[in-house]
Amino acid sequence: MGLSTKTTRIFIVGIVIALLIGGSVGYLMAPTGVGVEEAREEGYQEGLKAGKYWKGVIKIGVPAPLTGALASEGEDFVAGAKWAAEEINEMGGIIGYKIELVTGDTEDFEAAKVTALMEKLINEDKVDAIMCGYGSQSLVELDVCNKYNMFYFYAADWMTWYDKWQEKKYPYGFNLVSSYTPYRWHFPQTMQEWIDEGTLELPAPDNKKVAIVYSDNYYSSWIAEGLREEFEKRGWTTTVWEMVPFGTVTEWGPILAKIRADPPALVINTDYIPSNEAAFVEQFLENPTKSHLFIQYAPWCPEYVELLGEKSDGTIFNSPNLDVYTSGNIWGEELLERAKKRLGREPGSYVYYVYNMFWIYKRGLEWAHAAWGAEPKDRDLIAKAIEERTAYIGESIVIFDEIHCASGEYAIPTLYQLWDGVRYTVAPEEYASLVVKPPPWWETA
Amino acid sequence: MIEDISIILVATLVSGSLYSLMTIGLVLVSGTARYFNFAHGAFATFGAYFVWYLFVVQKMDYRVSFLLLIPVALAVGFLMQRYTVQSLIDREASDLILILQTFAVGSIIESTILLIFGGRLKRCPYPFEGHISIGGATMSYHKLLILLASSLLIIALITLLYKTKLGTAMRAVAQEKEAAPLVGINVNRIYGLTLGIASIMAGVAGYLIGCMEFMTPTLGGGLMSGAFIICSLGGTRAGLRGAAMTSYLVAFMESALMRYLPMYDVPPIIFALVIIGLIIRPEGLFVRGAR
Amino acid sequence: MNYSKFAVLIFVIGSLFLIPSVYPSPFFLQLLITCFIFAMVCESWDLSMGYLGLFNFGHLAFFGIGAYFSGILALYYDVSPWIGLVVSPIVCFFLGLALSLVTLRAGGFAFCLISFAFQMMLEHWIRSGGGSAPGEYGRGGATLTGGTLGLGAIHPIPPFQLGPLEISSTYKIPAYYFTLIFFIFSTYCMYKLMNSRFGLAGVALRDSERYGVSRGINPLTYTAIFMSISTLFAGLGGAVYVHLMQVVGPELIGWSNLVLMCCIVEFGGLGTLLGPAAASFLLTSLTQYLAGLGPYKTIIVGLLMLFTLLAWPTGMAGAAYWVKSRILSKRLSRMSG
Repeated sequence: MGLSTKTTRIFIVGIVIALLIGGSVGYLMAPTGVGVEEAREEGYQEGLKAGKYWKGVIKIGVPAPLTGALASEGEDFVAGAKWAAEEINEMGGIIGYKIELVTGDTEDFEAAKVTALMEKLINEDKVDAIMCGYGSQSLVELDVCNKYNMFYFYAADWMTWYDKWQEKKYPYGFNLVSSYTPYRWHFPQTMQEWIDEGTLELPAPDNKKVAIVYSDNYYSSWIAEGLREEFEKRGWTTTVWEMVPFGTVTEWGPILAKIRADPPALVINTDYIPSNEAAFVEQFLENPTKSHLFIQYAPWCPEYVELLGEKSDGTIFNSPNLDVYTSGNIWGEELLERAKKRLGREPGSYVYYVYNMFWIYKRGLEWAHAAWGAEPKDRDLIAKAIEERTAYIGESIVIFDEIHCASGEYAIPTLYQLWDGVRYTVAPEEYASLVVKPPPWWETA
Repeated sequence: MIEDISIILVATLVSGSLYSLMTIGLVLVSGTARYFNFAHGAFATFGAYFVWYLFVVQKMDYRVSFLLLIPVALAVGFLMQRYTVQSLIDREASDLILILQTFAVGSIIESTILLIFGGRLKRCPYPFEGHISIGGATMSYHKLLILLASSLLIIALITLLYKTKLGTAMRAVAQEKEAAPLVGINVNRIYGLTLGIASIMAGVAGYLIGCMEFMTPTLGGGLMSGAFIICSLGGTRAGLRGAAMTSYLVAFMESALMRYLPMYDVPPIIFALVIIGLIIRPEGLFVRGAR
Repeated sequence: MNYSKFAVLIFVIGSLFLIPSVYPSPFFLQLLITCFIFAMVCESWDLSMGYLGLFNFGHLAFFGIGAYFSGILALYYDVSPWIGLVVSPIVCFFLGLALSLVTLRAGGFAFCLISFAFQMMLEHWIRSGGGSAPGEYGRGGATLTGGTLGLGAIHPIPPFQLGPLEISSTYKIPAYYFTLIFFIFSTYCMYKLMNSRFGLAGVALRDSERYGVSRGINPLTYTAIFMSISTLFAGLGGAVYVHLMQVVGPELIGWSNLVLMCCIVEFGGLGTLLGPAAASFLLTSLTQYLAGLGPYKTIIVGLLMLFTLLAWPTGMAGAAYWVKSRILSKRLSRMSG
């Protein structure tokens, strides 16, 4: 097989270009102050000014879907981690150690890939803790981290794995999400209370109809079924019960036609993907019925508000935790401003989750250090500190229950409504910053 | 009943136009240059992000951004063909290798877009807001724009192919690649231009969808799978007419089924129908004559 | 088979066996385990795409079937993984046979699409859960395939047990040798097949179907049986994968893996066996080592493929051949000069 010199030249040039790009990218992507030596030097100078010295480096691994379909969530994990690391380092680090991040791409969450990435972070990069929103859909990384007694901070529903975690303990896994069960009953219960008390009116007194749309995945359908059960228990009738395929859905026409055929008092869509939900709301508003609108999860994503603009007004949504970064809460609003300044954009919910993980770890290590002289490598002592001491997320107290899921005062389900891009808490009453109002399209519908 | 018909009709026209824009590009390339262009989806993504960048970030007039897309997309397609695929064709690489090469280019384009613009969802604002009602179906002005744009492009393409010398040359290469140089046609340049035209159509389709749906760097992937399926059903040698007709046929089946069946069951049924169609007529539904 | 080739082979196999004692990094071993399994799947894909010249895009579906079938049997029906290891490939064989007999008459290009559609439909079905899980596993809404969550997420799929020894990805070294043995076994079987009369008949069909038919080779039978053998090895790879990783999700046969495997086969060189094996090592390790760079990783891999294919359109096997011929020609010129 002959090879012309021209082709050889192309090949060599190509390889050189690829190497140059790869090399410069690697160089640019390396975290500033890579390595203990540079961290020491930099820290020494800063420490000289502040009267402190860096003792060393704490490496935190952040596996995230940097490419692939969920790249936007992956961006949020890394953004939250960078924000926390920068802030904490500016404040002098944790007990004199500087935080350094090691990111990895989990892409499509395939088990072999994720396991290999975890092994790399733990054994090759020698991280001191791993923090992310989630490393895979099946949480296969929990077992890998458990094998090495490595910290794994994450934010995922515990209902699915409740049985498994009762049998098998993950002493170094900490879940910042409390149970998703309130997603099923909290809204129906609150809705009924609002109607009984007269806080919120129905479009017509006898219209207790609800239309529920969900997508074909466990989260969406499980929540939808719970909502349906709870509403029907309270005398509501389900006029539409439609499932859409899991994935991108852009054409809501047929389903909306069914909804418009029998206008309900309430329209619910638990297909949580922001682009699907935004398309749904937009097409709904082309010819809206006089109904309330409840959307699952998507309104938390900044793009929901960005893409819909004023069409997002009036959407009701919820959270299983007392999320403080909403309007009317001093600490929350200040945090939001800080996040916007650091990130240059509005943060999604995973930014906050990962950010909070760093602070919980910091608090645990500081306590363990003060009480038992622990260093970053003494993970058993740090875990003990996190378990025994309470932590704070915002101003609510978080304790980790026996399966290491966030509970305590933090785990209070809350309802919100969007107005002008601001997420107002509307329930429970003692945390509310706004009384729930009928949406703007009721005037024209 | 009237309402049903008008809803189905509107959906068929709109989806069909979008599908045909994508599919015609694929058919053009596979008929003329004789390979499947797996970078087609990336061209669509490129189109969407290019117009978004000019319109939203640089705040240029939407007409100008849209018009600028055409020469740039043409260049992208032409350059891809000329520099990455042409030498493989010259060395008679197997079809699979050609597909892989276009795939590599496509993934580089998509990753570059991911790198520059990030993975967060974006949206091109509609050039025209508002909607009209036709017999019970609501049709936004944007959907009218889709119909208009695709019809114009297809008419332009037909004019090019049948009324100009260049078009005749392209048809000649599609029919008889070996004989074409004998009459003085520069086959390589024709290949490049074909890719460029396919890229324009994909880019326009990408932009139109980018307004309706939300733009992510993986926008093109889904579009391309649909186009791939339709192209194979219609037949790679079916020509413009076959590609367009198959697109509208599939769009019709999809819309009609979605109206009466739960949305969920529709993709498997479409798949099954396509498979049956292929088993019955493997060379394609609209290809004239036997294999 | 000449002695220098044999010596190289012994050297390579020997070093593969020695790796865990020399460099027992769990990450590197896990990487190699993944490489071996993917290499098995890609070599068998090469059987149908490269040797037979069929545009078979549904191969990955059989990898998935092999994995899920064995996993479901072991998880819900308490079937021993060793039995699953044998039964799964056989099921894939017959399924592949049935599929080919039905669709091959549709001709080259339509077959490509049908096989692709088969895979997309399978992934869709897996994501949807396929009905509720049997027996008491089904309470609480658990589905047969686990849906998007994956099979084995809640109750892990049982690993291979050899007496007291557990062979799973938790203990890298036994798993490494296990996969290595299967890889060598499959490669050897495929090699023997390709060089048998049966294999030669298949190649004859690819190169000149009419002539092959005129010499008495029934195209449909041969092609169908070849396809089934290639799907058999894909199923074997799947069964090995599922019990080692103890969890499997629909992304196994999704777009990302399809692209990776397709690249491995073509980059390695269609029509060779060791090409895909070598490409599997290269591409899988590259993807893992560059994993921290996000989109840069895809760009770098894409550029690498682009330029390598431009230089050697037949992929790495072509590159290796070129290197060898340059060395040989240099040697020759030195001898004569």
